[in-house]
Amino acid sequence: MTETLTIAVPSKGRLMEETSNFFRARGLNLQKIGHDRGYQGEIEGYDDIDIVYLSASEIAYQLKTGQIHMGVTGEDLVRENIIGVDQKVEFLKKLGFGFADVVVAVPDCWLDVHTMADLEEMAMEFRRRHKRRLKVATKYMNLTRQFFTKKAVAGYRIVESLGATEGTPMGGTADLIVDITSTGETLEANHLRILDDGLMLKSEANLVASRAAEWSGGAAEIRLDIMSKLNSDPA
Amino acid sequence: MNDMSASAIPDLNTMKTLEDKVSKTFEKAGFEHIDPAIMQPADVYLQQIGEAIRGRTYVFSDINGDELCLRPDLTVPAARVYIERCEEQSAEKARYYYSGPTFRYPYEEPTSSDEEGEQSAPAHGNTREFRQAGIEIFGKEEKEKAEVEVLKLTLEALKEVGTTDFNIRMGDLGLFFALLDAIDMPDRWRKRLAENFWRHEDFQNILTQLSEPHNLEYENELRSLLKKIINESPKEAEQHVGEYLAAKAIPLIGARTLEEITNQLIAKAADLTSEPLEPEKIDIIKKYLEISAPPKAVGARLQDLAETAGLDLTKALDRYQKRIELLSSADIDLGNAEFTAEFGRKFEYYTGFVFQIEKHNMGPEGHIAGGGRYDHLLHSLGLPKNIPAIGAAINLDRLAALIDGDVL
Repeated sequence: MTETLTIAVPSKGRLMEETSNFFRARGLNLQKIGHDRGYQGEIEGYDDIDIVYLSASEIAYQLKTGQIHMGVTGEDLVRENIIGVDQKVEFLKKLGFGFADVVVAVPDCWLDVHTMADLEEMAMEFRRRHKRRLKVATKYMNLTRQFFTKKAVAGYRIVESLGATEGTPMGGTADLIVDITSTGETLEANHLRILDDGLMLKSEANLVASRAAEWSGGAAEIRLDIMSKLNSDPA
Repeated sequence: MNDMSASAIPDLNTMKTLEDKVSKTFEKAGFEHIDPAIMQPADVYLQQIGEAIRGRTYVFSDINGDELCLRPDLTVPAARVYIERCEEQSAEKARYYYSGPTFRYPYEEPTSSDEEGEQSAPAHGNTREFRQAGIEIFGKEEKEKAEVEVLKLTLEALKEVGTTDFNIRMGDLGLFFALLDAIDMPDRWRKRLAENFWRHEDFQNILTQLSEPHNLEYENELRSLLKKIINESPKEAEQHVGEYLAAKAIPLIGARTLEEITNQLIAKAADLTSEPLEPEKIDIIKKYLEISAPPKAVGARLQDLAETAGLDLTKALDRYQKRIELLSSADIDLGNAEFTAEFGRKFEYYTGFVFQIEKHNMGPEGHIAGGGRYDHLLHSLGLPKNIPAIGAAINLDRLAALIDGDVL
């Protein structure tokens, strides 16, 4: 296996299609090996590249462990799941799809809260009155903690939320949220508003290389070759 | 386990001897041995210290979904033992000692302002587990006396294992809060400064903010709402805010009431019209925080500062002097001691006297023990009122590494 380069690509949905389109436009045809529902693939004409189809978050995980050399996944997932991200992976290329903003959003009725500083100021009063910290619902526990620390907000607790996060303030399980949004429609429907300085990350699909993977034995050379193709203008 | 270098694990015999000698010292002084649980509910730490704790503590869920953690210190677990006993019988006063492992995640997350505790940082960069031995005094006692006693006993325990060559660093958060109380400013500003005291950079930013004219980048409609409510009674203001929301078809969702939102808006409106905090007042705060001097010289310097600024710090100064006298009569050598006003700003639960014992000439890197007063912790952990509390802990791993077994 040392003579090959392993690239992981998303295994379903829009991300899979757009990845495939991106590669094809640059002369690289991704195709599955065997059954259409299988998870093994190849790039036509490249015997020394293995394609594996994985979920976007599994790709982030395997980039960290070095089981794969390269992968296509959202920057949000990579930054959330890999502590000390710059030592573990290298962001090679933004791919221009899979856009999602990770944002801090609060109930629209909080007329007194427009910035992260407002949030911290209010959090002190909230804690005095409600005898608890503000609850932030999110699946981005690490990103949230880092961002809130950077913005000097301390008076909060994270409530892990793995779906329908926007509904948590109305449902009462959280007071505010950190979530991804593309159009802002869902936020609005749930009477939430993004804080003025609440943009945590402008995420999109990225091609990422693992620093933990084994790069000797040919993989580095194959990477150069494939990168020159991927960096070329689309046909 | 690949992060555990051999040097991070002290020799078992050295550790055992250290632990025994230190424990015996505490026992002889009349402290009761307790052995708090290694696994603690994560909730307690998250409520008390906040999410920052996740960045350095092992937090995990059990199959029930309850969040637990490996204790990152022994003070909170000891406080919980006290609280449990209070519920069974009215414990009132308690003196505990303990020794055992604590756990910290070795990777340090980059932060805007470092919240890492001074008292119990790992001895080596990669150490996940390190042992602490310590004491805690809970309940009403003469404050300064208890403080001196804790420091003295810590020093005795160190002497017992042959360490005598050290410096003592001291601070007093009570002095800072007394200073803040004495300076004339709106109460909400004082609260903001007090609550951000532990976060150095944020504290500086707030000082800067308060020194500048206030400006809110609100859209016009909201701005006129603020102008409308600024001179109104809370009830009327609340009504206006309610009408504003209704006109915009914004529903009131979540735990915060209309009253809470209105109160914050009134505070913002007040900020808009308040004069900035005068440069002289900011200067006093900065001058105080710059103080670093032998403990005996600090009283006079504070007196000067208070007189120049026309502040009444008598009570706080009396307490400080009383502690100095007690330290002297307890035969604690203050020749190698330094008072630093900034010291103690890194661990959120301290409220008064704080100290750290450092191996001579090694600075903060050589710290082997530390402690302080934390009068608010028990209340915030669930007791109905504040209970005076003071304690100290010795980092046994660091101690073992420093003495390297050769004195035992």
